[in-house]
Amino acid sequence: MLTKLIGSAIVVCASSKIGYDAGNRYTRRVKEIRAFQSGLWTLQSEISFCRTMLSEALAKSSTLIQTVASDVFLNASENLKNCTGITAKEAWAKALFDNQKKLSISADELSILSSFGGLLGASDATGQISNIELTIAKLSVCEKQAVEDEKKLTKLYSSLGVIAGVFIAIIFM
Amino acid sequence: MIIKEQILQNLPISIRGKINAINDNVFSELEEIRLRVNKQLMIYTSNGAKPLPHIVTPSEIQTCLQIISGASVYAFLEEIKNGFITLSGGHRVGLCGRVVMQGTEVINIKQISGINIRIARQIKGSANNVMPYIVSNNKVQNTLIISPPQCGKTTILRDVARQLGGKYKVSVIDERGEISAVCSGIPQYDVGEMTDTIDLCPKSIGIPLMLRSMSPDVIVTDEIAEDDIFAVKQALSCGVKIIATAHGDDALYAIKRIKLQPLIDQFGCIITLSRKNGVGTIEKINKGSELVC
Repeated sequence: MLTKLIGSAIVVCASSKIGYDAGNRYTRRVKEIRAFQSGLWTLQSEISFCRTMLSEALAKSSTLIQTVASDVFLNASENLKNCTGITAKEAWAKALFDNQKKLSISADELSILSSFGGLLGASDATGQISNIELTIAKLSVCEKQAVEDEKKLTKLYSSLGVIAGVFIAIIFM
Repeated sequence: MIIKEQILQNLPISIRGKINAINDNVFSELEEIRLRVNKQLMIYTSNGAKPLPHIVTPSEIQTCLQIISGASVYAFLEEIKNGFITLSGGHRVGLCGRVVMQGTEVINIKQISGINIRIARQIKGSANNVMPYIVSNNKVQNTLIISPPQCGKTTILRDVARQLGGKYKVSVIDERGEISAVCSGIPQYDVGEMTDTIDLCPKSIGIPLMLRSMSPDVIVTDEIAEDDIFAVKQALSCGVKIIATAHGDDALYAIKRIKLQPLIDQFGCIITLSRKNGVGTIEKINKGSELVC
């Protein structure tokens, strides 16, 4: 009986953890979208006011934000510095690809960020600023959706995890 | 070979291999690499043009521009407006494309269709033949070096700055970033122990600025034009010597074009160069309007 109780407790805990992680992904998604927006604002001001070189501007943006988004900005900056013959588009795409598994953002948001990279560094300041503003605007729409999803689904997945665990435990009892 | 590395790292990978495959002896004589949209990749040496087996695509031109600008085209708009970007090492990248105008001013060059990478080499001692005319009777003469493009004006001017910079306070007004090739505040070329450089500054602003701030004995500057004559006059009236260059294949015509005639008697050395017997051939040297060599 004791073994069964311990086993059931483990099942409930594991299932709750899975549910919590699944729900927490929506919280991380919101944080990442906001971090990308914040990084892009910094990038915009660096380009707009200081005409800072892109690799430096990306590195600076990475220091002012958190989450995996910071790694994307930093990796893109390092790619530009370390890989000779690489364009900004390639550097950004490589940084996104390298961090894709760690990111919690959806495919739509990833696509927006990929499109952003397509024009990165390739035009004058006005073009760069427009590209950044457009990306921020698109991410804002995604952010609203992500916040709604977070409200609905975080609790749902957490509860589901616990309930599924209890349900499995009852079956095995 | 530092120059080769400097050039290769600024080329798209697809073109890099073609240039890297060039024999070192040929590369040491390389003057230009030309990328033209949908045309063969060309190299130019003192022996003329040589096409390489590669057709340059529009995306290679765009990639090359991005690499040259450190993926920051926006940060090089001032240079692009002037039609060229100076690379680390002093190499100049000329750009050709569709010009965007605002009133009478060029504000951008878009749709880049051609890139010309001009390889710069510092040749110490290249000014040895002209130095006795530039410094005669222990006095530096106001000097004008005239030649068509690619005859070695800037190379000789750089060496003049280096040699004078060992004895005099020299100020280099390097509007195109070719004389000293300043990169991150550090001149890439040896332009002399006592030489100060102000770079990417229009000569008409840079000359009075250096007169006020650096009290030079000699001002060295490249490719003077009509707009700069007032600043040259200011320097001459302060007793500061001017060493300058101008485009042209005929001294009189070039002087007339840049409207330097009223000051010509103050120029003790007017050197005309050509490529007749190789880059930097001295055609003639005038003292004012009098021929001395």
